[in-house]
Amino acid sequence: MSPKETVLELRDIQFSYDKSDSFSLSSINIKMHSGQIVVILGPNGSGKTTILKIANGRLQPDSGGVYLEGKPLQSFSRREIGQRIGFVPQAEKISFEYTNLEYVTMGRTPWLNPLERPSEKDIEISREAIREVGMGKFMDLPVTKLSGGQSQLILLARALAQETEILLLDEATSQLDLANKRHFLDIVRNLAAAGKTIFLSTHEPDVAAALADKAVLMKNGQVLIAGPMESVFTKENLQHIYDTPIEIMQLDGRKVVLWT
Amino acid sequence: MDIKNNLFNSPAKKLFLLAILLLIALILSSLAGRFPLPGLQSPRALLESSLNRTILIHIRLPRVIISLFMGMALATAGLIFQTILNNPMVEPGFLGVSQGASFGAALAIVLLSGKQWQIQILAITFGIAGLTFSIFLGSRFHFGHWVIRLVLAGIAVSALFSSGLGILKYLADREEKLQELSFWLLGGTGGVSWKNLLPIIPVLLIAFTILYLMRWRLNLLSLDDETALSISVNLKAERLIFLLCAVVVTSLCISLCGMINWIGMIVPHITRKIFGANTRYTVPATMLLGGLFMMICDDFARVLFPAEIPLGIVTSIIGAILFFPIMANNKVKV
Repeated sequence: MSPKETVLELRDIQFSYDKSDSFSLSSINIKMHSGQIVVILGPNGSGKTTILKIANGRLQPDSGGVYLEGKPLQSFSRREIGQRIGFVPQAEKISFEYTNLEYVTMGRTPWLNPLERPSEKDIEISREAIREVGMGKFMDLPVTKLSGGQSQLILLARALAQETEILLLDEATSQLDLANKRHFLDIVRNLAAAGKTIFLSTHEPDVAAALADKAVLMKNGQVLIAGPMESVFTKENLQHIYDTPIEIMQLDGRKVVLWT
Repeated sequence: MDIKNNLFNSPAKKLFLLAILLLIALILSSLAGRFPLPGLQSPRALLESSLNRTILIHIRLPRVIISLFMGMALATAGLIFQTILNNPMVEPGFLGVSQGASFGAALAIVLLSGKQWQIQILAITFGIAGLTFSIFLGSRFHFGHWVIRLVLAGIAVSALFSSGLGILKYLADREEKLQELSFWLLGGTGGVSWKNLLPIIPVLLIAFTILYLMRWRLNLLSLDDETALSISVNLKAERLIFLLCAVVVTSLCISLCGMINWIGMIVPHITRKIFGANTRYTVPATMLLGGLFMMICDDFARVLFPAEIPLGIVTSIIGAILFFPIMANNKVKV
């Protein structure tokens, strides 16, 4: 696959949860190619999570469609989608004390037959994923004992163990402290550099500023503007979607968002 | 402590040990009884007396085997319900399954001719109905946390079936059917013979084999729907397979032995303490430990007193007593 080929595309998506609901998505068009980091930025309730759910086939759009490697998403089996698209949720409620390794190993499922258990190789891939997110020391500790930020790292590790070309991250940095956020963003950049497609939603402009090649700004289920980071990430656009005064400063060649 | 760790540190070794214990319990239970004398019979007495052999093969063995299956069924069903419903506080008796199955079986005894296949089909049907109704009701309640709501819904559904059972008792023909019903309702393995045990064994074995082969995938059903789908889990189909197997084995055993509670709650908690949460190990461990636990309870019920104690009472006493330390130690998050 050439680096500029579109791997995932949302085309003319219309969606509403039910007809009477005031919330709906309309005319969503997003193209992603390999190695690209696309960030959906918007306030809470703007429809970011819904878009991600549509992108991995969890929700069906009312019209329009999702295209994976140029073909409609529905033409792939659940397992084929799982081998291509990974998903990192914001958090997950777990009632049982799985070790982090057991938990991350569940990310290998799309590569297993229904009656197959993870092999030693699958477990080694999962170990490597845990080390990659810097949680190597926590390998055999229960996943229920982690802090919110540590859980987010482990959720990322599970998606890494899934070894997909495309990663969807839903507010996946929301509970990380500064050091872990930096680490997390480094991992995401490295993944993109290795050719993976990253589709990340966030309500934090800093995260978008630090990562995005392409940004999609959302408000009330509408895409306000989408395009290369440079042209989209302006003071006016951000003020418009957040309804609050914002300053953008240039610092060492990077954009920094100020809101206080 | 070190020696112990070295010997029994891997889950496979622990499972092996549990299997050996089960085998020993199976042999001892077959020898335990009140004939000719209370207590364990010596193998030599078996060789010498054909009456002793007949009692062993035709009376004791079916009871030992059904208690093994009953323990496996209830405990495994408990583990499955707890995992899939993400709720460590449930078991077949808390979800309307046991009461539903009992009601179904009683219905077959009172209103139909009480043939074994009728009893079993109605037990399974109403076991499924009980579970479905409890989950439906629990998801409709708007009070409290899911863990509690589901338990409350289960209590309500169970009460409904219990009163239905009361009505059936009232309606039952006093001459014969009430006796048959009451005898069965007491619970216990006393009424089990090869004749009613043999037909259900293939079904039980098939269901247990499916559960055993799919044991690792049970883990996946404890994840959030969103992530389960993103790692290619076919939620509807896989939930259905596990729940159906659980309800079928439970209902079949209940149709033979009556209602027996607590095993499905206690045993999975103990196995998770020993083996961790991974269902790759907890599924076989729960089967083994459930069978072991029930065989021992049945031994107590048969041997301890001249008149047999109903098995349901023995399991409830032991189960309820074990419940306190488990709940006090386990940080069950509600």
